[in-house]
Amino acid sequence: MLTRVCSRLRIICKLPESQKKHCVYKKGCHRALIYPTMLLDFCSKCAPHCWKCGSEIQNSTLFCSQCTTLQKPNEKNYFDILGIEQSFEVKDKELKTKYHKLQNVLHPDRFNAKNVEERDISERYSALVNKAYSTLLHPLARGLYMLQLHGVNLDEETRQSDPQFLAEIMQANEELAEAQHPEDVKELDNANRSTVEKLIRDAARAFSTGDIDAAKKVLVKMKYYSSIGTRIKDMKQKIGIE
Amino acid sequence: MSLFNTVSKKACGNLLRSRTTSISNPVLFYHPNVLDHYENPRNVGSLDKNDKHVGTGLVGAPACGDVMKLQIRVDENGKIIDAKFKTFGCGSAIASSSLATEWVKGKTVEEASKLKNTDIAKELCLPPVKLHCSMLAEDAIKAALSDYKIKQESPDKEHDSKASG
Repeated sequence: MLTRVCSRLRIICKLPESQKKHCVYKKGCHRALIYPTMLLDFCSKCAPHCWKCGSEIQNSTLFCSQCTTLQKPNEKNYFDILGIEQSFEVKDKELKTKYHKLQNVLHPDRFNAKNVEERDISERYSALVNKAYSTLLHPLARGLYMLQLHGVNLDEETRQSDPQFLAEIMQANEELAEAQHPEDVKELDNANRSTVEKLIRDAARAFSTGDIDAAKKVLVKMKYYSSIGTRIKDMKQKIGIE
Repeated sequence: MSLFNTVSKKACGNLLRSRTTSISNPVLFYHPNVLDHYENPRNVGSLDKNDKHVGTGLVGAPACGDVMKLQIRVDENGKIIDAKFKTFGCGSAIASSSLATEWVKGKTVEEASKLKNTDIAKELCLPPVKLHCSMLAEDAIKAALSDYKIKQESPDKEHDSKASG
């Protein structure tokens, strides 16, 4: 089984012996077998080769210059996948343009006439690009993803210990639950939006100075206010206001 | 690996969308025990946090943005005679805190401190991704008990009424 999976990958990596253990191209890699998703995480040190014809892929282009086959996604993170600079201050317009350009060539509809393998790659690649785009588009998701890239995961934190901040969040939630008139909800919505916008600016500052600890604190706050934002949205739908 | 993690966690998050106590839409994927507490939450409300006999626990979960307030009223014999909660979060968090208030009522402070999140999770049949909700409820009880104890130990002269709240 192991050999079959690996031979399908056409393992042609030429790494020095010392680095070989990090490379997913390596023959008999267990990780590649256990986590199919790991196949996306290819070795950055070796030049990629076309999975079909074996030619070297220059400048990490999407298609092989020799046989025009779509290549498997081999970028390291969402920023690389979309080809934008790794920064919290993402330009929405640039992000959208890159996303549309990629989906234009990657969409599975364009591979109807191709073979199953290539169609399968286009489906996976296209889904990955969607995922990368939606993550980087939203400030909270983008910030949490950037924290993950720095090895910080909020899911592991089960408690929040700043009583004053929690009281503030509790109060904001209570005010929303007790809001009687559409105007009250609108007012709370505006207040919440401006709080989130301020936090986005704080997060941008923290990430640009490389202060991951501060960024984490800001994003935790943003998470609470974004939950309130979701509740405000639900409430607005319920009472039928814009 | 990081890509794989993000994808799977996001998928779980979307399955179990956050709701508030005020909304009573039936939610798919929840166990009947959770739905029961979610639809008919017990002991929703507040006690006077300045009352010397009231302990307040306020906790939050940074991972999901849920916030939970649990309060207890303790009589002279150290018995919990009333408990109230307010939770803004998912169905499991609401159910966990609702169940926690039911369980601590009638117990002594000592007994209540032995309540474990695993008991709550077991009663509500919470799936692994929702275990942190029961931990939040346990934290809330602990915080309320600790607040009560601090109040008892400190010579508080400003407020000592049993009737208020």
